[in-house]
Amino acid sequence: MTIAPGPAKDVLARAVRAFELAGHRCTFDREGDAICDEKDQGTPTLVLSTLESGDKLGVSIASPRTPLPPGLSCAGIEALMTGARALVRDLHIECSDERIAIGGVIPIPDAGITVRDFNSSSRTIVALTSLVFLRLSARATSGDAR
Amino acid sequence: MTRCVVALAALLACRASAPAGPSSPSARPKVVEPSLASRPLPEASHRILPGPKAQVIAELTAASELAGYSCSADAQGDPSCQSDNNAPRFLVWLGDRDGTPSINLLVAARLPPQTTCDDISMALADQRIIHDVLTRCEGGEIGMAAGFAFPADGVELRELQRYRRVLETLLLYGLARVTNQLD
Repeated sequence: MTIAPGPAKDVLARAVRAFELAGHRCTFDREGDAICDEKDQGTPTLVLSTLESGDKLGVSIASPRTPLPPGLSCAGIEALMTGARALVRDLHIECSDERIAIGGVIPIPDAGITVRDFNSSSRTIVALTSLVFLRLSARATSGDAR
Repeated sequence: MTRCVVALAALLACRASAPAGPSSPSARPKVVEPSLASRPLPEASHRILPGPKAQVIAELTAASELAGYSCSADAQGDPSCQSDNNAPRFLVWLGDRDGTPSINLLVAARLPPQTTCDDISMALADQRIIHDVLTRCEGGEIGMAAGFAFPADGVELRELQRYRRVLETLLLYGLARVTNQLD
């Protein structure tokens, strides 16, 4: 199966199937986004959705926007994440109004993307997002203030 | 999944010492067949059932490819998988302990420069996201392995993938901490 450009709903459905074949378990919410919740497996809740920018299509895999842990600011998190960005490419952090979302976007090329290549990228995003949340959790637990 | 950790220390010793870098084209082992490209996509609920070794290895290889790896056969004929990003190497092989079949997983990576096995032992001392994992670190490389019982009714593909992912995350967690990228 190749995930090829097409209607956003179809692209997301194929992406979610690929994601589930990598071991995730997802359901769709009312907005049509896929919610993959595996906190018991050391992975934060992840939301899969399609993104369109001009004529470019991508699948976003990101944690939902959640309140920052006590004592942490967006500036502090950006500083903390400097090292994490070096570990894995294409990390996206959205932090504003004391809320944060972390994840990445997998571009869908015109020729499509194979399940293997999609999951090679998704695995990287999931691993890094998990690391970031582990780090934030540790900071919140230790009461580190920034 | 019923989990039964087997004694992997001896296996880790030889598996983790396998070459980590890409092989030259002439030395590269042959690709395990059939690869994902020649197989229909399974469902996530698909169960990998015990059977002839070649058939089971082919299914485990396909599972690894579904997770994003490219796999070749190692010296023992088992899947040895890598990908083009910073992910750890991943190996999967069949085993048994006291006659009970098992599926064994191993993730391995080279230690970052200027770090030691003691560093990573300390970094992982307080890890809490996984249990029953054996860690071996020597020669500048770290490996983490876990073994699963392989019951007669098989193992669900999704469960196999989830455990692989947790192993990967734990290894990356340790590596990130020794390089002070997580503290």
